[in-house]
Parts: sequence; structure tokens; C-alpha cells
Amino acid sequence: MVVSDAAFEVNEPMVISETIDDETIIINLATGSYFSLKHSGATIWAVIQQGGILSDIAATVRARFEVDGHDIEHEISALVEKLLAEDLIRPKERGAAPFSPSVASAARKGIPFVAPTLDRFTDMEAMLLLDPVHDVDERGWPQVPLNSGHARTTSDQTH
Amino acid sequence: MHEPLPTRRTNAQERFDDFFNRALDAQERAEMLAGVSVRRRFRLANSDVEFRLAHPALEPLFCDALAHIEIAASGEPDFSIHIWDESLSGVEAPPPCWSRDDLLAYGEIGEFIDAERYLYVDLDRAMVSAGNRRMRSAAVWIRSPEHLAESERAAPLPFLLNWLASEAGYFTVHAASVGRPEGGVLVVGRSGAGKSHTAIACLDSDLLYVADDRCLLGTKGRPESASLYSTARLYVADVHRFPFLQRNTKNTFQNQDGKVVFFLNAIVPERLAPGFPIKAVLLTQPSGRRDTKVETALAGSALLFLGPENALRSPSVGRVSLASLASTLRSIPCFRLETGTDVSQIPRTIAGLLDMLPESETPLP
Repeated sequence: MVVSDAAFEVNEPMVISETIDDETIIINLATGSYFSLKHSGATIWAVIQQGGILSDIAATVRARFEVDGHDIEHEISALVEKLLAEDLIRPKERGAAPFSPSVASAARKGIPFVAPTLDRFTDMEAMLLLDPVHDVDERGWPQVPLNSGHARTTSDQTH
Repeated sequence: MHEPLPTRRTNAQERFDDFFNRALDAQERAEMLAGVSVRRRFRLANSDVEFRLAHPALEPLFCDALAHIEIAASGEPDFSIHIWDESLSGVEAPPPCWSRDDLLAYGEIGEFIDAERYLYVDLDRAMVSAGNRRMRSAAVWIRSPEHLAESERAAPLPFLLNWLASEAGYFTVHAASVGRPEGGVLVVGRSGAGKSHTAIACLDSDLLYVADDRCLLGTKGRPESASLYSTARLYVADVHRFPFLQRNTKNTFQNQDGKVVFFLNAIVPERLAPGFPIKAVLLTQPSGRRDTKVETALAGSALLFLGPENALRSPSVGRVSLASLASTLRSIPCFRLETGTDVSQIPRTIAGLLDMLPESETPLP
């Protein structure tokens, strides 16, 4: 369980994100995975982006959604742990700058709270994990091994 | 020799610049040895781009898919791409400026990429592309046509062209685009969702075709699609649904994915458009029913289809492209297009939607 005064930040520069229509698309450039966060998840991400600690996130969610019957702290904590596990956010020291609750100020009452889910997409990962081992000599690819019999005219000769 | 570059460069920049200059010289040497130089010019994302090919055998490989945007040479081009082939010329690539470890990352070599420079190393296709914006040129080495997949002939230089077009705010997107000169739609969806099917169905209608699988999306000012390749792909089993293509036995080839590739510029040149303003985004999926229908949708799904692919395939422009694509998608309405088995309904439904949408005259901030 993440404690209420824990602070986090987006794991930039390897993680980038954009939000449209209450859906946040997050891309981990290092792994090739990308993610979707909708509704309350997008709100939680926005508060993390703005430097909010866990209690700020909970306050924002309560201001924006009808949360009756939900253990908000537990739901938020579970999502934060998933975001940490995917290296999308990282812990940070609490700075002097106070949280600026621009998300809460745009609160819209009456939206039923739905527990946030982090949808993960991995179809692009394989592209980033290609094996670079190819027919290479000590000069490095794309130079072919000298004993390959490949016709060559060294471009250095033009200098 | 080419123009010397300014001093105060980092070690990586010096190494890149040395490689780049040697590559340009190598291409020049390949042209000299061939005794012929081929010049083809294309209008790409509002720029005149000249391909300088060191052998005529390279023309079909790099130019056929771009024939629909070919223009007559007039004055100096905005950018030139110098291409040579080692197997035809005997002129090999310069010694690499990258290390073996750099190749652990796919394609783009980030250490050498900055506001001016670009380097893409494609191991599988045995191909290197290096570009320099300040010198308004790029050099492309290939080992031999045999090393290039058929996909290159259908869609040549996708990464280099994405980098080149990004300078003007255009990004390659995995999307189809059809419409009218005054406005069209961007059709997005996962592979197999029916993007090609939708776009090809429109070839037999009053709607014009910009792309069936990949096009440029202009994100500066008014959103607009711009044609990149005039090749369309269909699974062999689907070709019979489009008799006007089935009748065509020339200007096609079958690729390794089991799809037939059609060079549309040679088949239906009058149905192709260089691009148009985008009035809406359509999330396409097959309905499984006879009829096609359209309903409103949220744009987040469109960004999910368009953003990650561009950002991950071309990380050098990925941060900018994701923000630009998101900004563009916020400015246009999004719909879900459920395509039916009656192919003729698809263009009619899209045309009806375009009739209802207002003109897309509002420029982005």
C-alpha cells in the first residue's frame, strides 16, 4: 500500500503521454509498450503530472466523481503500484512547489466512479527487440567480412 | 568535395558528418561508374524532393509507389536524396560511425540524431539512410535490391520520409484517407480492421483516394491528409470483391504477407488525390452485417491507433508527433464506421457523413 504523502513523477523522458476525451495514452519509449487509462485513471495520471501526492489524488477523485461505496485510497494505490511496476512513474522527493489542482478545479459532479484500469498494449514491443547479430566483421555493420568474396570498391578511395 | 560543416561539434556529430560526407561522395562515385544519373522529383508534404539514383535499376524500387506525386523538375529541389546500390556499383558504404551496441536499438540511432542530423540503420533490409537538414540532402545506401523486402517497393523509405516531412508538421500515420477536394476523412483502426477495404471500396465511387494504409497527416494549421504511396494492398481472398481491380493483371505483385499489391497510379490515376483537409476521423471495424453504419465515438481511441506506432517506430520525432497528433485529433470529430458486406454502401455512408459535416476552415491555434 502506497502511503498518503508519497510523491511521484512521470518517468520522463522515456515516458510520454497525451489525453483526449478522458482517455490518456501513455507510451514507454524504452520498452515499446503503450497504455490506455480512461476516466478516473486519466484523472489520476493528470494529478501525478501536476505534482500531486497521493492525498491530492484522492481529493481530486472525490471532487470529480461520485465515490460512494468505493475504497478510493485502495483503488488509487493499486493503480499507482501498477504504474510504478511498468516504469511509467517514479518516486520523487516532495518539493517546495505546492500541488496546483487544475484538474480538481475542472471538477464535474455526478460522474460515477469506476475503478481505474491500466490497459497495456505490447504489439509494438517485438519491433524494438530485434536481434542485431548479423554478418559483421571487425569494422562493424554494414561492412561485410573481407573473405566473403563480395565485390567492393572502397568509398574511402574517393578522398 | 561537399561543403565543410561548421566547427564546435560534438564527437558524435563529427563522426556522423564524416560518414555523411563520405556517403554523398560514394553515391557520386557510384553515379560516375554507372555513367548515368537518374533524377526523379516528387511533391512531398509541400516540398520538392529529388531522388538521385545511381543506377536505372533502382527506379522501380524507389519511384513506382511515388509516381502519382511526381512533378517536373524546375529549379533547385527543396531536398535531395542520393541513393546508390553496392551490388550494382561496387561502391560500398563508408565505415560506420556507429558501434555494434548502437544497433541494439531498432532502426534509428539516437546518438547521431539531432535537429539537423538523422541516421537510420536497417539491418534486415541492409540499408542505411543518413540525412542532414542544413545541407538539404540525404544519402541512402542499399546492399542490393535482393536484400530489400517487397514492402520497400510498395512503400519506399518510410522512416526517412517521415523524418523529412516532420519538418513541415506532417507525420506518417497508419491510416487510410478518402474524400473530396474540399474535405475528407482519415480512416484508422488496427491491422485487419478494414482500412484498405474501406479505401479501395471508395475507388469505385465519387470519392477520391489518398491512401489505404499509410499517409501523411499535416498537423500545422488546418488538419489535412497528404498522399505518400499510391499502392493498395488486399488479401488474395478479398480481391474478387473489387472487380475493377480483379480485372487488372498488370501493375501488381503478391507480397510475402499473402497480399496483392496494386500500383494504383497505373490502374485508376483519375481516382487519386494528393490530399485534402480532414473533416473527421473514422474508427473502422467490420460489422459482420450487410449494412454499413456510422455513429459518434471518442477521439482517444484514434490517438491509441495513431500515436504509439509513429512514436515508437520513429522515436526521433515521437515526442513531437504524439503531441501534434493529439492536438489535431482534438480539433476534428471522431466517428465509428462499421463496414458491412455490401461494399457499395461504404463510400455512400462516408459521402453522406461528409455532406453533414461543416467545412473544415478553422485553422489550429
